[in-house]
Amino acid sequence: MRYGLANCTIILCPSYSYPLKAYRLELLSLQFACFLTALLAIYYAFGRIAPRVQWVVLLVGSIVFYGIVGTWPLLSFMLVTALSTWLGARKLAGLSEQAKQARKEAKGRDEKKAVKARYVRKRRWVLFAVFAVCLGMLGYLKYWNTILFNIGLAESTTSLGIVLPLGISFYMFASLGYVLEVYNEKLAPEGNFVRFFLFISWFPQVIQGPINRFAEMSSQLFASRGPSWVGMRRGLLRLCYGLLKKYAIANVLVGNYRAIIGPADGTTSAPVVIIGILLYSFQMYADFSGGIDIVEGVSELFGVEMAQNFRQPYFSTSLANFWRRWHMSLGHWMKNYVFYPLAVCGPMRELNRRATKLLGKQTGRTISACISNIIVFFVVGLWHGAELHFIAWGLYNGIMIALADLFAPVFERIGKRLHIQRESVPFHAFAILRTFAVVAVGRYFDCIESVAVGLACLKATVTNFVPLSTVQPQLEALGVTSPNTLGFETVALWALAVVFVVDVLYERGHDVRTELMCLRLPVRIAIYLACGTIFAFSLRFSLGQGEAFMYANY
Amino acid sequence: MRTTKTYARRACRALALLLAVIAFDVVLTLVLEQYGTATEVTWYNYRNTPGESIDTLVVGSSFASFGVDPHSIDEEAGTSSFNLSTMAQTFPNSRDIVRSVQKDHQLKRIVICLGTESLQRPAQYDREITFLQAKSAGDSFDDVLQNVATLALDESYFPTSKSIGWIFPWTYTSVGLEADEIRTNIERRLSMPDPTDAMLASDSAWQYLGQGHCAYDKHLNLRSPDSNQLAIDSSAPFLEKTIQEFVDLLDTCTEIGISPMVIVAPRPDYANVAHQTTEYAELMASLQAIAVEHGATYYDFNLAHPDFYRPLDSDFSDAQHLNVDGSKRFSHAIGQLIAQDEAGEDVGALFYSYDDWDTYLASYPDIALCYCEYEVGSDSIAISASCIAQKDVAVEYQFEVKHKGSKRFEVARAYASDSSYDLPIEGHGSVVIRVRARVVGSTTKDAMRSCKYWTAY
Repeated sequence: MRYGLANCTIILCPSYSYPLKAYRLELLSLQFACFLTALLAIYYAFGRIAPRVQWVVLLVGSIVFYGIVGTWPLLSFMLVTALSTWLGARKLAGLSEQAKQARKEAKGRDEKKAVKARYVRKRRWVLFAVFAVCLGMLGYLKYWNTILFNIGLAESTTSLGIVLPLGISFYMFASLGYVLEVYNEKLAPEGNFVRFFLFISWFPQVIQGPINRFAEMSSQLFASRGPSWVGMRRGLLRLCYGLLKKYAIANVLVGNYRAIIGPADGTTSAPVVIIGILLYSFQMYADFSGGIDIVEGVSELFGVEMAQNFRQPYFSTSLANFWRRWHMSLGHWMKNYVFYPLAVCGPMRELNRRATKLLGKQTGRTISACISNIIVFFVVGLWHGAELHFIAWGLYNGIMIALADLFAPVFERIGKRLHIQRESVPFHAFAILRTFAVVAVGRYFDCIESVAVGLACLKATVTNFVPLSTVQPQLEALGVTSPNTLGFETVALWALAVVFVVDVLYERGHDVRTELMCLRLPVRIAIYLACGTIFAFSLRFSLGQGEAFMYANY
Repeated sequence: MRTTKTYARRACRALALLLAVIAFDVVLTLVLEQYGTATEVTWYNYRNTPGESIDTLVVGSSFASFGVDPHSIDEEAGTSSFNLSTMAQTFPNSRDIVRSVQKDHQLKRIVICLGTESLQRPAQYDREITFLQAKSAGDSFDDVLQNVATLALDESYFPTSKSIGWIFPWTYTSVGLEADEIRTNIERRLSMPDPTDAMLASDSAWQYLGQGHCAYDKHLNLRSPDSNQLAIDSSAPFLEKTIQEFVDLLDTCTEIGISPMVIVAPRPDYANVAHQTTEYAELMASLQAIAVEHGATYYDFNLAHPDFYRPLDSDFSDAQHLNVDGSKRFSHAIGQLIAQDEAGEDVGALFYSYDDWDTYLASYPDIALCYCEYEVGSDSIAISASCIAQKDVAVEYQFEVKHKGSKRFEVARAYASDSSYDLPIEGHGSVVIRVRARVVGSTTKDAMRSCKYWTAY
């Protein structure tokens, strides 16, 4: 017997379709507040009682945090990563010392060369072994199920039930970065494994990054300190700002963005697709950067400043510039450990030489950078997931940056001919909008699960024009909760206005937190209350939707 | 000295900020939090009946709040009862109520009225907040603290943002942000000391019937049932956590020396026919076993013999809840049950057993509901009929029309198994469509159901 019930299909954005069951703690919760308060109290108490082992509190706290979020058994992956990279780095440093000694003892240039070559080979083998262990583990946990699914050997991308350990991509890349620094002899290896394990497991960074560097973190993590009133206030401000972004923008917009993007295909009208992509653009920025602000704020409460991950990315004037402002720690990692080694490797230098001969100095020199960029962004796409749309998204970014580099002289000439003042405010505004549009096109492959559907939606954006009067009913039909404001709930618009003002101030060189703390108390209270009201109103949207961080299971 | 001064100044500033936040929150709560919710009304009326002894307490969610009329029970059983059920009341909420009422009254009976959904769905956070607010209004500071702590430390809320939601109750039970809504809410708060008046003013179909009981004075629309009305999944599994909470409630009752009466609220006939699965019987039989094991008596009013109690379709305000008239009929039956039980009669005979499922099903008509959907086209009206019938019953449909000005229905298409029919039309006018559904070949009235629709074309 049928009762005429409609079949409902809910298509989730891939970013949300990861198995999140391993992660069950919200940073805005009484549980986290209790954990944080207790850890802060114990940490600063140890600062007075036993300053030399104060950092042990952070390590214990980080391990406890991993247990609280329900991923205790998955700690073993972190342990294996830490152990292999720590041992690998020590071995590399040892080989380096041995190489120096052997070269000293070697007689003649040829023997010295042979010794060097022998140790280079040995060091490469060690590096390869460390990478094989770490990337093998990451590959299995993150990609194996998807690969099997893509070749028809698994029912779905999650059918094997492999649970991705919290923050694995972040601590894995941080560990590999450490090994590479030691390999490049830019860093002395850490002798104490327990201390090194704190760097890997530092709880604010395992949720969704940033990818920190040992050189920048070690002195902060292992220092003994007392509470700093200013530092704590700054940390608290950043934490609250992150909460505002996450709860008043990301969690509020996520439902409407899914309602539009989920069923979107080639028949969806252009304005509706554009609205969906806009919602996603702001939602994602608020989710990721908000989450980063929260964890950076938490870390600052302990006096530890982690790597900066965002610098007003939507004020970028080119795609390359955008990637220097968005997920900066991943960008640095890719630049230092993938881009540069690629760009200066033997085959690439040879290619440069030939291209210079064929195409001239300017283009020839750019070719290797272009190819390296495409490879880097292919890896960035792969880092996000093994699904084809992520790879397409990565390649799109790489190709666009490569094309921009290749045609830079052409654009320069056109600009001169048209007497365009590149430093003028209108051109700057145009460049920001142009970059936003270029980034938004990439979002089609990021948030839509299928490349074919993404392309169809892209086509629909430039062909499926409809009268603007029909947009609101279309949004209503899709179940968008605030069609009058095109899916942007009022509370999210207020929060976006706050974020816009703050970003403008930062962009103009203000240190917003310091300046805010210097304001008179009544003004400060008024600002806090206004932001607090926006935040509190947003909580009603946060019931049961979009609570996990988008990047929490990368 | 200087350090002490600095610390004192900082502490003062932090305190000033905290006080400002609290004051702001309190103001927003008064302005934006909905004044006069059904839960608030129930608690307000309970507190304002001092001196009146209560010997029978009714607890539960909306099934009980809308369904159980204490006045009707009292008429039948000579009891003095009060219904402290509230919307989406959880079993821990009910347990708090039992403990609280027990302190002030000499309770003799506790009626726990529930539906299958009470055990299938997790607690609704916004309703928990409303309950907390309404209950805390008359509690001591200690009790309020305990209430808040219980909610915030609940294992399903503690790791989530819901653990701090109680700080901002107005975000969950807000009147909305339109100026008119806010102004009306403030006016009601200032001019209506009794939240019952505010609730009556905000919802014209809602009625407060006294002794904690409220219900809607409206009828379930079975002519055009939407998916919500039809989709009652009675066979979904019970939540383990909820079952444990149910057991805790039963144990609390027995600890204070009362054997609770567990009552399963009735559903419309069509729902019982549509969900006549053995899974339902097994599920509810397990609930019955748990209830009995923990010292309760258990009665599923869906299994009541028709000569004792059977609800009419017109007894429901929606697919799950009884309306004003329905609650009276149901409560009279509860009252009779209490009276007969206390008189030592065998009340078990008034109900079918889950083991006797086929006999129970046979007590329902073959066809429980007939309804249709139609779409007016340029030259015809496409009618698609549906019915909810017992398993393995073959149904046939007849389509009849009554044109404007005519007094009689004419048969447009005689009985056939095809459930759809295109009624030809010309020009503009109006027509009444009647669809009859019957068991194939049967001519008895009991085997037939019909529905009527008027439409213009």
